[in-house]
Amino acid sequence: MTTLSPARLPAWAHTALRLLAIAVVFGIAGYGVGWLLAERFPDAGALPDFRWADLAAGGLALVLVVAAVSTLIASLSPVRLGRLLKLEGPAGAREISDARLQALVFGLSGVIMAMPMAIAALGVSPLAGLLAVGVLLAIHTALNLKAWRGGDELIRRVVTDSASVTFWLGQGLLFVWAAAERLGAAPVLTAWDAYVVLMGLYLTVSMVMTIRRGLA
Amino acid sequence: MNNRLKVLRAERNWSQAQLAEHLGVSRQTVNALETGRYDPSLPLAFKIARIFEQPIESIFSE
Repeated sequence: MTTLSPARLPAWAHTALRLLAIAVVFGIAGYGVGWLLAERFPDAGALPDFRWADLAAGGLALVLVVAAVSTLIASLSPVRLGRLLKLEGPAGAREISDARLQALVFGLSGVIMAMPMAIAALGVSPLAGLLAVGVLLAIHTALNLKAWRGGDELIRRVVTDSASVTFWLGQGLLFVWAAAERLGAAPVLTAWDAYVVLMGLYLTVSMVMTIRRGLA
Repeated sequence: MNNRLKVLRAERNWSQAQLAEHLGVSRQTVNALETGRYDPSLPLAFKIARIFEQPIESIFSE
C-alpha cells in the first residue's frame, strides 16, 4: 500500500494546500474582524451598497495582503526564501531585506486599495479619510522608490515592461469603453471603476512578467 | 539569445553569488541570465565580457 506523503505531492498540490491553509486562516481572521467591527459600531446600520468595482477592489486588496503575508512568512526562513526566489542555496541578508520591503509594499497597496470603501462604510469624514489615504500613499511611494533604487536592471526591466504593457492594454480597454459609453451602449464609468480595472490589469501583467523573467 | 555564462562560471568554480557580486547585480539576475529568461543590457554584457576576459560574441550567440 502506498501512502501519500507531502513530499510526494506534486507542486500544484503543495500550492493548493498552501492556498487552502491561507484561505482558512484569513477566513477566520476576516470573520473575527467583521464580528469585532459589528460589536464596536452597532449603530453603523446597513453597509453602503457595494458595486462591482468595490467587490473587485476588495478582492484585489485581499490578494495583495495575502501576497504580503506569504512573502513575509517566506522571508522568515532563508532556505524557503531561497527556494522561492530560485536561488542556489539559502537567501542572504540582502535578499531577505528586499523580500520584506516587497511584502511591505504589497501589504500597504492592499490597505490603500480597501481604504475608500472602509472609510465610506465607517462613516469617517471624507476630508479625514482622504488625508489618511494621502499619508499612506506618500509612504507607499517612498517605499516604491526605495525598491526601485535598490533594484538592479532586471527588477527595473520588469517594472518598466509591466507599466508599458499595462498602459497599452489599459488605453485600449478604456477607448473601447469610452466609445461604447459615448454611443450610449455602455453605462457611465466612474474614476473608481476605471482605477480598479487598471490596478487589476497591472497586477495581472506584473505577475506574468515576474514569472516570465524567472523571478517567481 | 543563448549564452555560456553557466559554463564559464563553472570553469572558474564561482557561485552565483560570487558572479552576482562581481557584476553588481542580484543572484536572481544571474539565474535569469543563465536560464535565458533575460538578455542583459549592453553595459552589463560588456561587464560580463570583461570579467570572463572574453569577447561578447564568444559568450552570447543568437
